[in-house]
Amino acid sequence: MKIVIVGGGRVGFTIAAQLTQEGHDITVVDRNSQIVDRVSDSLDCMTICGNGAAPEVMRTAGVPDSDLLIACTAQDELNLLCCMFARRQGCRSAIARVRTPEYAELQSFKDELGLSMIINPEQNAAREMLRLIEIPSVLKRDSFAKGRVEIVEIVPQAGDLLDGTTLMDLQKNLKYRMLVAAVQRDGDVVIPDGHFALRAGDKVSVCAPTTELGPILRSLGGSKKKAKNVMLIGAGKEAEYLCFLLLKVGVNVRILEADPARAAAFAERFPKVEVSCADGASESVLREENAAGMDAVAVLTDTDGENLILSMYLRRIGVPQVLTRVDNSEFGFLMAGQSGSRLISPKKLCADSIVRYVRAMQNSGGSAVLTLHHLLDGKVDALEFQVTERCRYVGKRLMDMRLKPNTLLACINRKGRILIPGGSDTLEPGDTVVVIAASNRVILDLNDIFADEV
Amino acid sequence: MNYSMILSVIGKVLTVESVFLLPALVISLCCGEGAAAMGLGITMALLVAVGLPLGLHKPKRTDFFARDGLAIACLTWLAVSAFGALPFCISGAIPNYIDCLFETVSGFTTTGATILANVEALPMGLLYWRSFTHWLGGMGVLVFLLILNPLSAKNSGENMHILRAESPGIKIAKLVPRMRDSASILYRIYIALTVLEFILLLCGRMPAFDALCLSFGTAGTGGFGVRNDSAASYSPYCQWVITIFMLLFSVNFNVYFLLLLRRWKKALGSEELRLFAGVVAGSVLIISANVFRFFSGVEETLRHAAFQVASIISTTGFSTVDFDAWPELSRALLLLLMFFGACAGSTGGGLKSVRVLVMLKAVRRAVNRVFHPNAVRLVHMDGEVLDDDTVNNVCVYFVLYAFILCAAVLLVTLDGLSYETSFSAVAACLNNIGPGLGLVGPSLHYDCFSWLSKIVLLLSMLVGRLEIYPMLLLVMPRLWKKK
Repeated sequence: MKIVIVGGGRVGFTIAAQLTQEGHDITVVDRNSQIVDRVSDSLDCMTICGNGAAPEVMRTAGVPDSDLLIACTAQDELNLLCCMFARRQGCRSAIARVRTPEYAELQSFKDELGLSMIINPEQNAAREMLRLIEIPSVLKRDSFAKGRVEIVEIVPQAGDLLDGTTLMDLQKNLKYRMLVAAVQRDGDVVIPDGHFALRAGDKVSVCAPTTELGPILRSLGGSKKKAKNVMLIGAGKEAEYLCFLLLKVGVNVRILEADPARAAAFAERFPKVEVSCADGASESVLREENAAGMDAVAVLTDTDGENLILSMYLRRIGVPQVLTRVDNSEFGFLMAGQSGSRLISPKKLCADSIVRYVRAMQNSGGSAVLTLHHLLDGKVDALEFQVTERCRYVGKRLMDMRLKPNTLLACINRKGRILIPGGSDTLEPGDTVVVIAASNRVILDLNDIFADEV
Repeated sequence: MNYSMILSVIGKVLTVESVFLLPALVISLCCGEGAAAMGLGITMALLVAVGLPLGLHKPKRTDFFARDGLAIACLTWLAVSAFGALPFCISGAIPNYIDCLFETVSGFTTTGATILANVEALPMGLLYWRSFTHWLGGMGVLVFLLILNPLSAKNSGENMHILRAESPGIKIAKLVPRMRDSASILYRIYIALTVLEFILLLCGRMPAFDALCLSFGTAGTGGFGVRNDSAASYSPYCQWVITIFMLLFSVNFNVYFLLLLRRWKKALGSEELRLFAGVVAGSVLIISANVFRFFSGVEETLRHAAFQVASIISTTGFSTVDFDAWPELSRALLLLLMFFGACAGSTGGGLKSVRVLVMLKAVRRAVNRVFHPNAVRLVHMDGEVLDDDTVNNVCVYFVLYAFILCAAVLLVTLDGLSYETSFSAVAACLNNIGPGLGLVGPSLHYDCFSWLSKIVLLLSMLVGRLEIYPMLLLVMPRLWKKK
């Protein structure tokens, strides 16, 4: 597809990098010539230096006959203007990044503005953080089938139920419906069969119906109590969205912000929240505010390095769950993998959801990909497909199908009922299925997972 | 430096080269040239034996930086030339390996300088291969490989690093978003123009083999002929065709792409193109006036003046007359045109019209500053502002170029030949032209030099074709460190 990306900053760059890899024709427009040089030096795409909202520049970039325009500059107004001009010029669809909380209502006008998607990175990040705070023992949560199914990543500790059991035994002993979709051990990813034995320290992706997730995680061990007291450090946009969500689910929120004006504004907006005007990066302040006694702490200041160091400290003093905002640094992996610490990158989340949208757009012929999530550091993809009459095995039982190696049917959603499939289950038109596949396989259609050739 | 990656790319290029030798082998077999066929056949076998295992092994590390791209460019060119020289050597057509290497490097770099006194004695298969190296080298061997087989979809930066290292000009302007599509558009334009010239030459009753080899030579702006008198014995019609195509191949290929898109104004309004056209027209007029008394009639004068000017400025190096016998003004002008060179993004060599243009603008800015010290002056080109980095890079390039020229001239003068011969030989090699003045004039050849000078000259050709940096990197010890 022909895609024009306006704004080559971190979000634009990440999106462009992903999409060029996937074989799209990308043109990146940015006003800053240094950014333009950086993009054209490292990516196989066309670059144009100029104001992406100017019709003249748009014509040069080929907006009139492109399939998609993604506006992700730092300015919301520019992004919106850009998308509206693009639609007027004949671009087939447009995505705008809009993140000012005051513009949140635009979401409901997006069709009238001709936009396919309005994306708000900070709000996304806040939602993601809330999901993690709600279920503390998982590293990552991705939902499918309109939220009815989730795939979560957990790390079994020594002595847990999962440590040392084969998947067959697990299926027998557990009264809940669940399926181990993929396992990462020492950097390698396996899509396991029944004889596979789990070990403490593996990173395990588990697929289960959302309603049963809580009990499942409890019985697997390592479950922690739901967070009651949460501290936020830094009162930026993410904090604002997160605070709003947390208050809704009845969590006590405490916030540290060094800047008096921002702290005051926050206190004004959230009367119920205990706002302290203090530097969260100081150890004495954290002790005074009883950081060690919190169920979870979200470190959300604007400086990545500070966030990382603070998070390390918080883990050291025994905070059960630490969420770290890491946006511009590539050193986030230093914290990754420790249970209890999560990294949140609003920009990366934003890029991910745009890429997901583009893939779904590309696949909208035939059996469309409804949802796509990357599992286990991007080594495995989980794709949700609609089953149509075109599927070669419609009506057939699973035991009669031969799947390609490293692929798996993880779950079937039949009119809202979730099946964790066994050999005698069938595929029916109208179902949606979640397919797990190693990410080096290109799966664009449901038929791509079957081993036999037509 | 990522050795395993570099070896794998070189392996692939060598395998591709063996395929390109095939037509030469067929021609040799058809003409019953046993020795040449054997030379070509053995070389092909060797290329496959070395290239396939290297090309098929999977690189261990995949990290790849700009310096690796430059290293790939120069090592590939060295490897391709070293193997490409083998047929001449094995068949015994040119006994000395250094001579063979000189001839092949001269071919791939589209220089066209030859050490052969009697070209016509060379077997047909080898003559074909010699001209075909021009065609391959003109657009770039690596670019061709990247069209066939981009290194990896994951890290597209790698392909860019290689493309940038091999393509001449101050920066590469992509025609379409994807590098592979862009390169294949350029190759298609290249092939189309070559075929067109071949057909037009056939229409002028030129023998098919000559027409083919001359088309390759013109397309790559190389200059290897198949006759001892270069292009002098062909009909005026054929000479005009060659003149026009030499000029066409020295124009930035992006112009043709824009013309195909019917963006006339942007295509023909390019400042580089205008400067180039102006210099060509001016030089033709001056030289015509200067040499009028040597020829009978306006057409003949114009034809020879235009042919020589086109040949030198496009850095091709064909000739229809011995311009070394022309008056001093014409000879000096031609020598200067050698340095001016073709447009960026073409198959020609030299400094490139665009660099001269940028330097002229930088000079104008510097002079203006003397009069108006407070004036804010930017360097504009084609309606866009060039940043100071670009302008500086161009000036630094020129300085480097001058240093290398001086060093090479000093080394070559060790042979004790006249200053004119030594200087023009280096100029002709560094700028990828071929014939120079004096003992290396259009009717003579490069066999007068010692082996040391030949090596210096063939390195100058590579320096000129790859635009200095890749070759300069090769002598930096830092490059060879593994980490």
